[in-house]
Amino acid sequence: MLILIAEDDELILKTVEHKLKKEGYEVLIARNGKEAIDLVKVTDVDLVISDIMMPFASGTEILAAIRSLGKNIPVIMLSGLGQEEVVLDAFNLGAADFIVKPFSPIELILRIKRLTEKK
Amino acid sequence: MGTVHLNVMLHDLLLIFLAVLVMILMMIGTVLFYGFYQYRSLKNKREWESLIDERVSDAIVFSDEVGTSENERFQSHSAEGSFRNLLLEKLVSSKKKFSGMAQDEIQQLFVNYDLYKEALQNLNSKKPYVIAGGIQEVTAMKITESLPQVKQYLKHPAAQVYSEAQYAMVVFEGFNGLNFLSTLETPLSDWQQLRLLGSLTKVPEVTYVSVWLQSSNMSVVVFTLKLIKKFQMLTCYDQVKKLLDHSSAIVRINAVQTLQILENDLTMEHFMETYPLQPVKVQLAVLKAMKHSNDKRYHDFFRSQLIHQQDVSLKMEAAQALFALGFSQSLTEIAQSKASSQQLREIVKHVLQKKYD
Repeated sequence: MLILIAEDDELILKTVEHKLKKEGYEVLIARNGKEAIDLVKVTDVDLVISDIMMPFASGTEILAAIRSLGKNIPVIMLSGLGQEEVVLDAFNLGAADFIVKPFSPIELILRIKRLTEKK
Repeated sequence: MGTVHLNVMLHDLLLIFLAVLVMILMMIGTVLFYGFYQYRSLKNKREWESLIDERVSDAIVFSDEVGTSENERFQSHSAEGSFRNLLLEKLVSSKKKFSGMAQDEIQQLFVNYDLYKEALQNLNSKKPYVIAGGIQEVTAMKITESLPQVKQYLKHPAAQVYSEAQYAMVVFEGFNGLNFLSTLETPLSDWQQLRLLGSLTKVPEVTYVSVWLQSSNMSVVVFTLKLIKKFQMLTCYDQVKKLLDHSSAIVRINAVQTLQILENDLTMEHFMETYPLQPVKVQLAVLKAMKHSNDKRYHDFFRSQLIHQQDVSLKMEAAQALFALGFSQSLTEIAQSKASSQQLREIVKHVLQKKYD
């Protein structure tokens, strides 16, 4: 299973990447929204984990781009506290789940497993 | 004579030119050296940040596995003062990004690298921003030994320092950490109030709350009202009601909002009693609170405010209350009545239209 992580915070990016690889997932990384959209266009990712606030394109823009490509990829949004309105927008666009920072990487893995089992 | 004089002048000019040239070269050299030094520092910092991120990430992901200790490059720097300061700074910021076991792993790194000294030495600095940073570090890393020193900073003249000390006290001691409110003379900013409220998880003791409600520091009273609201401390109702007569309108507005949360059978009557005695901004808060109570018995009151009140914001709020309570028919009648003024019809239409948009 191929998972794309879009996150501009280096520590979060590395930690989630290592954790996913440890769990046996294949991982692609993007350090900004534009990179993430480009990767979604040219690869067949099975799941996207995306930060909401990112340079060049936000998490909701990535989500909108995925939908406009006609791809039904589940997206887990990572949001900060006080971003409720953006989270609502993301749900309206079809986000599968969201996690509020600070977050537990173990919880993230559990949610990914739950989503992929559903799929 | 003339030739000799010209030669001397040329010689002087040459000397001046050379001196200026040397000075310019020295200045260029200094700028280049400084630029190079800055570049090296930045490059080092970036490399170190990457090394530290890698180390923290490994600790979080592979905590339970043997052989995940730091690489050689990390080890070679781990005794350097500036590297250790950056490590401490990064551990503190990392703690804000993760929760659960990941946070415990970050704490363990702090212990393993014995960063107590670095964290505590910032507390002894003379620069307020360094002290504030130091307080943040000892708070994030839960160094309880630093508590007496942090407590002293509650009286520091710099807002940056005493604000951090206040927050630290609450993080360390929970509700008891708020004791400083009893003697606080400086104002608590809105942001600080939010931080303190956010870090409290247990219901406060009523005895202290009663004292703070009588504080001469207006921001302490407002904060206490927010505290009562957050924890829905119903037993404080009568004391909050008394604040409807407080000299500060801001306190009165907060008291109205708190009473709305603590609402009992008499709250609406209390609002009605105080309403005519208040200035517009407090009246506005009262109308908003009454709107949320969902009590249809006050139709006539809202209608009267809508029609006879002079202030437009109060008229608007009364119209919105009527709509929220389900009296849209009544509003439509007002909008269509020829007896209604142009302004009144516009307000009602605006409220009706806004709700249907």
